[in-house]
Amino acid sequence: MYPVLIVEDERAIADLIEMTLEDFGYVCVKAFDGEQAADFIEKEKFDLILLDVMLPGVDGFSLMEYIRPTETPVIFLTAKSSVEDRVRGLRAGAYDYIVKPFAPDELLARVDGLMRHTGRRSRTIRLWDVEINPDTRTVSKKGVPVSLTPREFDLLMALVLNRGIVLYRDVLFERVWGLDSEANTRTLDIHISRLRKKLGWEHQLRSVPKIGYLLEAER
Amino acid sequence: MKFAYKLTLAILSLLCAALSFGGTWTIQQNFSQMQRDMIQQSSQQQLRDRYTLETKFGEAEDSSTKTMDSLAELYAEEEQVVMADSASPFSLFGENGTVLYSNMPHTIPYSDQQAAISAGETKARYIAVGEQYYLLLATPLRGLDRPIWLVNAYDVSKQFQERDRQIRQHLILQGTALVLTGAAALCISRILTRSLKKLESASDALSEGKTGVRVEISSGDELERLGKTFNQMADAIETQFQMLQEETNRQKRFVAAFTHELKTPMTAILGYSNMLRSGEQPAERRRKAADYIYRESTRLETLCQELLLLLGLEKGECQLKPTSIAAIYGDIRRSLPENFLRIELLCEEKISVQGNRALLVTWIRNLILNAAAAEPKDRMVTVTCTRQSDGIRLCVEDHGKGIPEEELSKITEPFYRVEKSRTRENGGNGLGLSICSMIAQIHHSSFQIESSLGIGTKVWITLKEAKS
Amino acid sequence: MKRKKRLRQITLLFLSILCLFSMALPWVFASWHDARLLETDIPRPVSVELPSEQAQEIPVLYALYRKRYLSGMEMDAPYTPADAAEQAAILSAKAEDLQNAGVLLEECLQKIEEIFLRPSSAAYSQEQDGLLGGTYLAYPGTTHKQLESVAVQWHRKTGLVTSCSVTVQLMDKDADIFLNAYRTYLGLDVLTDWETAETGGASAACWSKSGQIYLYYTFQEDRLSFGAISLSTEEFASSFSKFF
Repeated sequence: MYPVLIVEDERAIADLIEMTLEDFGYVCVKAFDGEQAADFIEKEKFDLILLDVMLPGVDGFSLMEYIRPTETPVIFLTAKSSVEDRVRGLRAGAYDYIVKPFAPDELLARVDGLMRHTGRRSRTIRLWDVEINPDTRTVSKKGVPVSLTPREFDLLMALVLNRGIVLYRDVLFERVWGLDSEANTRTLDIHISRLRKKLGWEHQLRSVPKIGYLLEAER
Repeated sequence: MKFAYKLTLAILSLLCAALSFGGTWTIQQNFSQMQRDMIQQSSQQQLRDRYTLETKFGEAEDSSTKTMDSLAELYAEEEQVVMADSASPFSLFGENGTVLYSNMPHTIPYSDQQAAISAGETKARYIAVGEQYYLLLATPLRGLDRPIWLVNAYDVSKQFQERDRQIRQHLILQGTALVLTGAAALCISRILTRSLKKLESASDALSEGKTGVRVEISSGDELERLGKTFNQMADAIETQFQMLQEETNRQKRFVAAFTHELKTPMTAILGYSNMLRSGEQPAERRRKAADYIYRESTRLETLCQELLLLLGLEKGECQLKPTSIAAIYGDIRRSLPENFLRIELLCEEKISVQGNRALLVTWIRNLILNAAAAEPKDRMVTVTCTRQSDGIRLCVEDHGKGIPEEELSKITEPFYRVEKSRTRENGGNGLGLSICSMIAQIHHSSFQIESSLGIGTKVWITLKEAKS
Repeated sequence: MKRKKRLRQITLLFLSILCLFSMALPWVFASWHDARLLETDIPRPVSVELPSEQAQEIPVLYALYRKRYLSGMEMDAPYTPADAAEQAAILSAKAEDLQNAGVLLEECLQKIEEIFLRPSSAAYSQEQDGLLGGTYLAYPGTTHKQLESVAVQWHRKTGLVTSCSVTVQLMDKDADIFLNAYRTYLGLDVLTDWETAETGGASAACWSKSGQIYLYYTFQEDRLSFGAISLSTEEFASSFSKFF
């Protein structure tokens, strides 16, 4: 497992990405301009490069020349959303193209997806004795498949992606059931209790009073 | 209808009218002349008849009808021999309308002959019998014992026939003339108005949006001038169009740059706030997130303010009042904090300029900030005010990094930055120089920049002096 | 668009009809003119200069005028050979009338009689348009080589002499007196506008515009001639002198 290289001249965004990925267990390295990035690429090996196209000095596309020999997958970050730019980016060899502004969750999902598909991470997420396969949307505990409803699976993924953080109830509900849902937040509680039971995570998956729910991070 | 047709039609109508009236008049004139000649000739001929008859009757034994009749007949016969067909038949009338002699055709009624007598020797009468026309002249015989009137009939049918023939001929002539003239006029009109076709097709092409459409007409008349005017118009339209295109492009670029400037802080603010609302974050993170949210928000705020200023400047004229440079300098000193750069404010004498105090302050201030960003080694920026031949020059100079030559033309574009990351760190949005350029425009001055890499940058505008 | 097209069609039609009508104009006008012609009396201008009404009442003057109109001023009828004695008698009678009227001198009359007594070489008579003429030619006396002649023309109806020419030598006579006598003889005194014509030598002439008549009385070296000629104003102005 190698780190993820973040090449972004806006510090705020670089830090944001780092925070998002770190929670998920990715080690990040930040570069603030093209030269710095080139240095890093020369010296170290990375599993993924997140590259801002509009960089001062050397621009993202030219940096691709450096990256290509290393065969490291690249995701472009940019404010330009036109089709030509997208095509140009993909032609240049990028694996994917994310347009700003982006929700960090989406970035994380894409990164994770890429990692698993290129084999740089295992296809499954392992937490304690539970194995989760996001592609097939299957869960197994100690090798035994556990049947979860789609909602339960989504809830599980939300908790897993934010593990170690106490999630606020309404935000969690919003994430899983969507903004327009007319269902009661009570269902959230019911789903949580079902998950705990099915996975046997009575300790790991806790309710924090007056705040929300917490899935502990595996140390 | 095509213009050529209209022209032809007009010509033909006029020709038709002219020929008709002309023909009528001419034919009528001819006829009248023939008539007059005929009357004159006939009168003279009649006088011959009359005088001869007068002579003969004067020498006759008596004036009995019988004698008269035989003498007249003799005379008639003589005349027939002498003059053959041109002998005119005549009648002799006595008192009370008695017929002494007549060799007139039966078709000529006596009533008409009587009428001729009534008309007198100073008048003539025309009569028509069937297809024939006769001229009747009556004259009294003089110097005889009894009153005798001589009435002659002259066959003028030929004249009428001649006239009718002329009318027919004229009709044919007129018809032919109209046809031939019509054809010729059509051809000529078409040729002359060929230029119109050129203009027409050029206009069509132009309205369809084709560029480079021009006409070439060298007929040396109004059409040529029209062609030239058309070309001028086409030039003007294309220029306008180009200008509009450029304007639209400029606006597109502006919007694109603006959106870009907006998206970056938005991404940060959205991202961090989303993080904070999801769940309990560690304290360090919370601090960082709040910090970033604040910073990016202020950045947005500055962006808004600068943009509003820029748009406001673009829109309107500004009142220029006499302002003293000293006052401006005072404002500058107060607005900038005691910071890393030494600011020298120089002025030759007490000068006042026509300008807007606040805008000029902003102008100098923005440039000072830019100079600071250029990191001059001597840590100094100089503002000078000098009197030149064309006005008062206000100049800001530094010995910093300088601006590359190829970038000089672009730097006053909104959101354009020479080195992106550094300007952003200092909170710059890339609008500073656009605003300065606008301020220069409002003061009716051009915005001049001189810069060399590694040596320094000099920016100045020329203001009008206000005599106080 | 349609309305405009309609308008154009109507205009075209209208113009065509107008054209056709105008082409018919000569014929229409002629018809109208003819109708008027046949109704009214046409004034007939007088083309010939006529003697005045008063003058036309004078038979001999009128006859001379008529003759001028019909056959010209000169008597150019063919000379018909006539019996000399007859002619002599007629001419003699005429001469006597003239002498009685004071137109001929006594001497003249005698001379005429003399000529008639000589043997004639020829005698002619003429006739034209109411005028008669007679000519008597006699062989000359021993001294002269020229034939002597007496030629007279007269109006048949009235018998008045309109022209006379006699071979005679008469000197220093006042032609004016005889001219006036001749005028009276012809009965032309009623005309008031006699002009005296300029002549040379022993001759007198006068002309009346109202009568269009010219009278002359001339004593030449070997001849006496006088007469009346119908003469228009124009002819008078240009060539009256050719009769001398």
